[in-house]
Amino acid sequence: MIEFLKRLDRRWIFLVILLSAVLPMIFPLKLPTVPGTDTNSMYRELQALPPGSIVLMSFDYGPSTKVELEPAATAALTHLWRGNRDIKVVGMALWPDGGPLGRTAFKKVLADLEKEGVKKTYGVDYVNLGYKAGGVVALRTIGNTGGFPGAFPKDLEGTPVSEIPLMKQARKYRDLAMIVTLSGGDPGIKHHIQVGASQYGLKVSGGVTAVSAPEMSPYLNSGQLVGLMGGLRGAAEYEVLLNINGEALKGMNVQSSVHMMMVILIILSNVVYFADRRNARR
Amino acid sequence: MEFTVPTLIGIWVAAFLTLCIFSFLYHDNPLYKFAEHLFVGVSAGYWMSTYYWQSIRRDMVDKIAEGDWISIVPGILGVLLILRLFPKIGWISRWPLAFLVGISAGFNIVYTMQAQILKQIDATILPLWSGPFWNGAMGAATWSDAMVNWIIVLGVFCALIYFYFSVEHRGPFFGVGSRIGIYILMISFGASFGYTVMARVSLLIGRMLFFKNEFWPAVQRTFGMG
Amino acid sequence: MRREVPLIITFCVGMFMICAYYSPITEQYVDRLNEWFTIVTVFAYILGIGSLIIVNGGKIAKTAPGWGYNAVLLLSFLLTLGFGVFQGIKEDTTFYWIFQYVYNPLSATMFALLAFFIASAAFRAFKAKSPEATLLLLMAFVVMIGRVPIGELMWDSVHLNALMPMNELIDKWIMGAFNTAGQRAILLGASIGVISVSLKILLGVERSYLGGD
Repeated sequence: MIEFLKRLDRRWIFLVILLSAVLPMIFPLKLPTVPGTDTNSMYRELQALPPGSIVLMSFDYGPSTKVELEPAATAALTHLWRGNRDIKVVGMALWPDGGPLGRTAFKKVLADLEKEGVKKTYGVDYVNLGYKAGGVVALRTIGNTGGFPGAFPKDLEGTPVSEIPLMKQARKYRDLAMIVTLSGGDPGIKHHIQVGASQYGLKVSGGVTAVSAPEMSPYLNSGQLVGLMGGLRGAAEYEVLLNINGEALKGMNVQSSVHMMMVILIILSNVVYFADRRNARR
Repeated sequence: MEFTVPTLIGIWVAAFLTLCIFSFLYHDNPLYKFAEHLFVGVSAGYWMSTYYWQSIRRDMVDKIAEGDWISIVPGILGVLLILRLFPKIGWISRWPLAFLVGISAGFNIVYTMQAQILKQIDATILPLWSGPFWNGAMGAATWSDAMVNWIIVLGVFCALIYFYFSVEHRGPFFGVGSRIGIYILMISFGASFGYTVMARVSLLIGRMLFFKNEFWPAVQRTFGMG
Repeated sequence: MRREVPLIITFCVGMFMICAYYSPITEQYVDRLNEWFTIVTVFAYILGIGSLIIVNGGKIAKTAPGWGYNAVLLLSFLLTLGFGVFQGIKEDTTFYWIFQYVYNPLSATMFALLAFFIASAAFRAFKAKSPEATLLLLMAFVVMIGRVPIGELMWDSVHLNALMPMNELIDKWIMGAFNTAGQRAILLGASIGVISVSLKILLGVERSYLGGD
């Protein structure tokens, strides 16, 4: 057995992982997810936004991280607009893929909320300004004297920003109530903290990939971040708070089984290691 | 889900390309190489198109057309940067590069100092007792919160001792401090590994959900099943 | 002059950005510099594209082994760029179709491979060879099990929830205390490193970004 495990072809491990991902999709487990502290904090902050607030939503992710961050984006948008709340959303992106992915997120949420009788008008209730190159410097251009219209002369669809009613209210950082950023890496949430939170005193929250979630702990502890959805788990927790059965919650089944399989594999490899060490000593 | 002809073709293409990439798990093969090169080509084309419309055209060309002639300067700097491709005159690309590096360096000094050093040091000055303290100051809300604060303050201090390599890590201060620091960092890295596994699994979940929610209905629609 | 002029540019521009943070008089000039930065970074990408075309075009011209794949790369690049520039990047364009059904699945699947590789790498390499490695392994187990619903169920089934809920163990103690301490120390160290390198660049001590002569 020990020798078998030592010489195991990695393709068998791949097969085991694939099966542990596929089987829970065919036979779902329906296990409860309990929201954590950071997700609850973000929920409370978004819930406390007064009517007429303008929120900057930054879609800083690409297709590779879409699976973790699109559920977070749709959960945050659903929370901002559910019950026909009067919250305006200005969308932007620090990644080239973020503009079209933001467009997808808006479409998805609006289609779902339409069933509840919620209607939002582009240009009045929300806008997608698209991509701005330059990372932290791009955010600094929003802080320029020209504000949003100076940094984004046209939106993603090519409409001049001067013709968009919402942008007459959302001209500068001080017009915003909060920044919600869905961040797949660099540039992303850290730059919004550096400029939005540190320089303009805005509340920053959002979603990050699970890889980046541990790095956000110092910012959460210092109050520079007021809440966070960490990875698919964070998005699932937010969906529980909103009482919706979204994509993130469905993914938790697979997450459970693959994690258990990983733990079993690591335990097996350590059993092999210690058995080998004992045999070597003999 | 509504299936138009382009959508149906698109889903079949997406599924084919997904399986081409996954075939690498069995063995490197021509299908994987084809998909890999296609990915690089399409990514480059996509990013270039986005940069054209959302940066060069919107932020430079349109402004020049409106009479803001000074917006031609970044265009000139950009062209100088591209001259790096030509070895004989490539030296001139150092000027726009120096401009980019200078701005980044200036930004980093100010913004990193403010958001990542001063604010973080401020956040490490925490109450180490619970309840009312000396002279009307309030401590942590509960004793477990005070414990957390002790761990943060000592943990940051000891981990920073570990990172101080100018002195040998021996003796009661540097020796013990750096040992505690390593253990704090190992806990941190263990948590990071756990979250990294979570992230990688999430990426696989995305593809599984594609096959379940989009490809399977597309197959049913194509063959008139269900 | 080929090295001195760029060093002077770096110093002047960098010092200007630092002073501008504290002085409102320089705001309009900083606005311009920020705008120019965002555009020049795009030209840096065009430089990369130029390299891509030269390298792959060279392999096709020499009919090097595997040149067919290089042809696929260049052709797909030119097609995507052509559709993007001439049709635009809005919805209902061929460019958007390529983004949705070619770029998105390829990008997502490339990264999905990592799930398999991390499992294989963990099986091969993640061994408790020392007390530090054991501690890392234990924390990884707690987080991997604790962050999924089945782990919370297992924790509850052995009545450990009464002692401390799994969420509190991870959110408050592991992530909120130990991880915060470790990550904050790394953040402080890295930030001091960033500032020192930036200062060295501004003062001309660090010149590697200029390349060779």
